[in-house]
Amino acid sequence: MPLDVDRERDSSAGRAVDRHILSRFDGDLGHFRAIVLEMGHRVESQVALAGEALAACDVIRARRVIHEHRQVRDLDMEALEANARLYAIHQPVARDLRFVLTLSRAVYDLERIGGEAVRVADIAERLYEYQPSVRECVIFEDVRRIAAPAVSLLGRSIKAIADENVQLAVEVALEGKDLNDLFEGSIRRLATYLMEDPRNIRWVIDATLGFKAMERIGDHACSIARTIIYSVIGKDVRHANTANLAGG
Amino acid sequence: MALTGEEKDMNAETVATAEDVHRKDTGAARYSKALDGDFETVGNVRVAGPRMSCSDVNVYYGDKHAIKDCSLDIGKNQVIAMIGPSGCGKSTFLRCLNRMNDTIDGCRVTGDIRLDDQDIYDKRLDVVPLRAQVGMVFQKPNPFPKSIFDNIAYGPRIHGLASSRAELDGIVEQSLMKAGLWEEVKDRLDQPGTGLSGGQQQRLCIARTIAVEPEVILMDEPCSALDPIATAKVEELIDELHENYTIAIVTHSMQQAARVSQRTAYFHLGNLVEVGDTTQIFTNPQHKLTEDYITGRFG
Repeated sequence: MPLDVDRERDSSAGRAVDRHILSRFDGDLGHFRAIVLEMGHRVESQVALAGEALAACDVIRARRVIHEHRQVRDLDMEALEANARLYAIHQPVARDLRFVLTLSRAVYDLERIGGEAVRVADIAERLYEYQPSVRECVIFEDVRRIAAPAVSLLGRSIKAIADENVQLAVEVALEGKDLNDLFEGSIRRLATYLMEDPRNIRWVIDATLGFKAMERIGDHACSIARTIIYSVIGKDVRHANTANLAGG
Repeated sequence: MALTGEEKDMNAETVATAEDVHRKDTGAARYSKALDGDFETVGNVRVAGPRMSCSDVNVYYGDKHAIKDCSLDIGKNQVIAMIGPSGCGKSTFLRCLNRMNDTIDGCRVTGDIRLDDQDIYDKRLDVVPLRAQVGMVFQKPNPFPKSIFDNIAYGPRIHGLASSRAELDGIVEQSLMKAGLWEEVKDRLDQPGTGLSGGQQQRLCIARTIAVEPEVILMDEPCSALDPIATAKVEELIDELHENYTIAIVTHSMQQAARVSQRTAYFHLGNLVEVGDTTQIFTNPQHKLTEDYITGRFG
């Protein structure tokens, strides 16, 4: 996933809505939005990297994920400051208020996603110390099945923020269910390794924790998508069931 | 020829409206589209058990059509805020509610406005008691050039609300208490009301309105001449008063409308565009004109 952070920051004021009479408002909101999008892109590449690290038991990539989390934490702090500034100085209302609320909830979800990516990377790093055999490493390859859709959900939920795109957000929210099914399937496959050789238990526990973290990342991405729907249409669908989402 | 205050206000309104019309012509086509033909207010204009009920109100200043078919209920013990750009008709509408527009030459009001089921435009109705029932507080504090005591006592005296000096003293004290001014002025009731600070003067005017036991209090930008602290005190007062009185307030400060009111009505070019619960209007307005105005993207 290419990171074009500078471009995002430059085009930040180009929110697809009419200009505010006060250009400083557009500037401040654009700044907050740019921080969130940058955080989104960073976290997205972190998740992809963490998935690869676990699948390949690759300590180098794992350490990069852990190291880069610092930047996500910095952005998290920058976001709080930008958010506080918007409330204190501009007191946004209506769709502006809903968009600011959505951005600030997205920041929370993105920070958690980064945290989950670090969790996956921690497992990969620990594996390296225990030196599993090639056969044992295969147990972890399954993480790709969950990581790929999780990264895709996350990428599209960030795009839904950038474009304030309800259709895309609904699509992401609906696909969240598929990821949960994939996770269930992976857990069943992990159980077969246990039946094969009970000594696999150490690896299976680690794999379960890693897969679960990936599944949670997908859940956070869906939560971002559902909040975007609230931002655009003004209706809180964060806890609506998926059947209603598809219909409405 | 010297203009009276009302005429000056009226002129200011006409000028602002000309600007609005210009803006409408040159600005986004969506506005003119929204305003063409039959205009329907978004949101529920009716409430259960209203104190005042207005139906199909039209106001003309000569040829100018200032209010177009507005219907709106004002709920009992509720604060309703009226917002909108200059010249949108919100003050004109407010002034219909106690027939203040009668004082303007060439102003014609049609439609039905009721206070507790009494048609206030009934020809037999005496406007003096009506204006005691529906009191008004203006933009600039306007205490009488009399003592603080006499400012409050004036209304009860002419309406014959007190039969003895003791009773009058009681009314003055109660009114000043309710307006949150008693502690500040109790030792200097004989001093001129004009000697108070701006915020105190405005609360004195509110106390004067309360003294004649109104049912409804109309406020036309009551804080626009006050500093933030005095504004906060008046807003706190409005919040306390709405337990016993019905209040309609016109304000240019949207944050103030959001803070003090339970319902908000948005006016635009003489139309009542949208009315709804204040929280709904400020978090999820349904009409694009309302949204553009409150978010600061108007025009």
